[in-house]
Amino acid sequence: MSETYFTKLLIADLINKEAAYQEFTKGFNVVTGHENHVGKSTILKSILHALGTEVYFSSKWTSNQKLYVLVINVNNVKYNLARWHNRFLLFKGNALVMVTDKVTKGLAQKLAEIFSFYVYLPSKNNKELELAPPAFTFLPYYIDQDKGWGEMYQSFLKLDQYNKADRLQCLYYHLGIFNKDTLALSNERDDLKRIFDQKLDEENRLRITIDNLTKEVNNLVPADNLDMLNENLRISKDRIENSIRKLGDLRNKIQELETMLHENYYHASIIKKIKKNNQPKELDENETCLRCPNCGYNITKDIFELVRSKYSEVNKKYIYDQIEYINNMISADLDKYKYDYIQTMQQMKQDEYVYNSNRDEYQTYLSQSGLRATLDKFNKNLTKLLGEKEEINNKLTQIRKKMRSLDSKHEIEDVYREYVKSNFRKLDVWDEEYINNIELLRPIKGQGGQVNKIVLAQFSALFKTMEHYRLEQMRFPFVVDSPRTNESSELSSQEIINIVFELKMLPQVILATTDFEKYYKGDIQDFNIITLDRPNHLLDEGTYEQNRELIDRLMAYFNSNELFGGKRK
Amino acid sequence: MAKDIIKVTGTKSLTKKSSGKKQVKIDKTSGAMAYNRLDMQVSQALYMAIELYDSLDYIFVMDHYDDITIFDVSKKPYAVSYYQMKTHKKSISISTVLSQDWFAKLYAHLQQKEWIIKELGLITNCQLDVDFKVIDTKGKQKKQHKSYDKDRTAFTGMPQDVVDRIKKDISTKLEIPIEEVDLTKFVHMHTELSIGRHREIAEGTLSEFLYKKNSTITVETVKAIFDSMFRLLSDRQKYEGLGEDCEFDSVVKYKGVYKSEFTKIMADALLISMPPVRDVVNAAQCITKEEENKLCMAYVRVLEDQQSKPKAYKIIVLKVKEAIDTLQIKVDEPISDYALRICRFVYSSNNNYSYLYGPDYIKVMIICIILNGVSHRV
Repeated sequence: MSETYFTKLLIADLINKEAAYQEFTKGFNVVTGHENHVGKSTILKSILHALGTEVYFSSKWTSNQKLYVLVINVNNVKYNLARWHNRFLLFKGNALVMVTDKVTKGLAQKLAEIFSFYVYLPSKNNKELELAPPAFTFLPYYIDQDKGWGEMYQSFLKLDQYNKADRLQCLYYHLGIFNKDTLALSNERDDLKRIFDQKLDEENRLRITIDNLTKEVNNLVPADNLDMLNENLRISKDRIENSIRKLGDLRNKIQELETMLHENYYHASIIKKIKKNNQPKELDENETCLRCPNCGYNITKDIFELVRSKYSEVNKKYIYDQIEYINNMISADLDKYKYDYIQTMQQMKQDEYVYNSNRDEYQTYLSQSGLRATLDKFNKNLTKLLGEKEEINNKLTQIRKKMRSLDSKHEIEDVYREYVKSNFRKLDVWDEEYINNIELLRPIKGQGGQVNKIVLAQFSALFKTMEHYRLEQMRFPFVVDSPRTNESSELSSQEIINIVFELKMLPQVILATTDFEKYYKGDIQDFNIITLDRPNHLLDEGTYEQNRELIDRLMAYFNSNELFGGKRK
Repeated sequence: MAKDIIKVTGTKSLTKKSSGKKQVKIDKTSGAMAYNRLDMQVSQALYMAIELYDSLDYIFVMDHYDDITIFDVSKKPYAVSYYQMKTHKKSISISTVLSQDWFAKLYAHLQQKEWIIKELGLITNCQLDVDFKVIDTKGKQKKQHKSYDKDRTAFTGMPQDVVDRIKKDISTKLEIPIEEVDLTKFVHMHTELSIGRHREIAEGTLSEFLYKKNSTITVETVKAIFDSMFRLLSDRQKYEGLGEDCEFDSVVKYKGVYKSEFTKIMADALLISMPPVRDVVNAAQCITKEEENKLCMAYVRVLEDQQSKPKAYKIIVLKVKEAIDTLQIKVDEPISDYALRICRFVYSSNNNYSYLYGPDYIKVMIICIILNGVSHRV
């Protein structure tokens, strides 16, 4: 098991020439006192500050004029880490191994190497994975007195450099769920899914556009070139011209038939007017009677006229019937021609509408060919898009396959959930409401008097889960500041303290609390008890003098132009 | 003869009582009856004219020599038949015939020597009843009755008693020795014409006659022919300008109707008869609807001209007839081509005709004439 623990801490106020020095042991360390404001929290905050995190110092604490030196034991290798402002010096033994004023790109990288523990989180800007600053390494290992108990994992400043949803993924590193590769896969999967969704939207938009264009194109004359277009337009024009000719012929025929009908009615009216008594006169006895001497034909008495008049008499109805018959025939033809006329008119209007002969042929060709080209282009784009989607889908499938094989996350989270439940029950803070709401990355907020228990229970569960799987990941010191805040009950305080000291799986626990002995009844034989009893007087001149040489040496490094590029603080 | 009619039918219409009071009756019916019987005579004459048309060249003389006189003029000297027409609702008895001097009047015609007497006929619309006596086997005289209603019954074929009575009557009235009385020419003819329907029956007979000659003849044409013939005969019958002793030529001129006149009537009727327009259109074999319509228009114009412009119509139709007679249609010649030939002929006779009567007009006339059977393809 990889482990890190802190051994010494030096805080030097370079202006007031005062310093504080504390030593820590592996295992349980308690920084206690009977009074408040003795510097317990300051010591704990200074530890984390030396490591490159940003902590909530008291407003009275002038951090910028102080030098912090932390001695770290990493797998039995001693490192000295010094911080002055945002400048860091790292010594391995006595050898200076790192000089940096860059927390993320310098210090974090080096510490990650030393700890063999890397936390990569996706950048807020471009979602690319980057090595997270030390705060995220120590996120589950520090509970700040003020900020750490309300909402879990809020003990440091400047955590919002990453999205909230991404920040707590650092826990997966502590639990061995994530390493750089798996996170990269996960992020790649998320990226691909995002891109896939974008392409899906694009596809839908393209399809709508293509549909509309297709409708437009279908209304145009299908032609691949100007000659063909001309031919098509000619055909449509011919049809219209034929319709016009046909209309003209029909009009003439209708007029002809109307005239005929009129004439017939006129003739019929004439016939009607002829008097019935239009008969030849009787032979006047005085009239000379001429007869053919051979056949006796009476020339005077015109037999023809006699017969004609008799014929006329008897045939009046017959004549009307014949004229009526003719008129009916003409009327039927007239109706047919009128119907044809209307049909032809409608057809011509349709032809005109579809193929407007007034359109400029060239413009027609251009718009038609332009639309076609655009339609072709969109179709090609769609094909390409579909191909890209297919590719992304395949990649996603591959990633999912890989992640399924690596994915022990659910199992680990289940174990974590069980430990949380167990801790909640043990601390008597269980609520049925929690049953489906225990999530590693969405810790339960503490409320009221049970806040600290709820928070500690979940931290404890996390460590127990690490221990459960005997994970190889680096374990760091658990620094807990004032867990009994908000606790009114002695029993609860005891329970809380007990939880902390159950964490034997950790290499080191540094607990800051007042009246430790009062609330912990267990064996403290191996505990390193640091008692502070001078309120507002953590630093002193004596300690500064004792460590002056070190302080000066380090300050010489910090002020070196050669090391820090001429930038003086 | 008119007086005879009055005598026969109206003897009791106006009476004077020899003594005392005079009773005057107003005759309301005899005028109409007289008219109808005159018409019936005309119908009978027409009927007989149709019957004899195919066998005889005749002249009918109405109401002069007798009621109806028929001259056979096919050869000279002419043969003549005289007919008296008597009508009664039920029957006429031989006694009435004798008492009315009908036989005597008919027999009087035998005294003329100019023509050969062919027949002396008593035409009745009812049966002739004869009562006669016969001696049976036991030698007893018995009275018997017989009615004669056949088309034609010779009087000489009647019972001897009847024959004797007739001879005696004629002998007495005409003061001729009884043994010289010759009844061989005398016939009784029971006509099928009735008082109420004589025209219809005569027209029906004419219709049958005409239909046999020309199966395409229309009802209207038959009617026109009948009316024309009837009118002609009526006019002849009505003429009263002749004296009793006027010359035969004058009689024939004013009171006669020649067979040729009947022939002319029939021919003219067929000439001007217009078949139904659909028959004309079918015969024209029009290719396009336009041609058909133009032909129908021409048909109507012909009808109108026939009615409203008879003189002009007569001229053109006779001209077309003349053209048809001159340029007869050939067997396979299309109507349109034939019409063009006729048009050229017609227009050549008068320049104005081409403006007045277009080719379609002429074509309609040609088709009507051909359809009526007046002309045939040769």
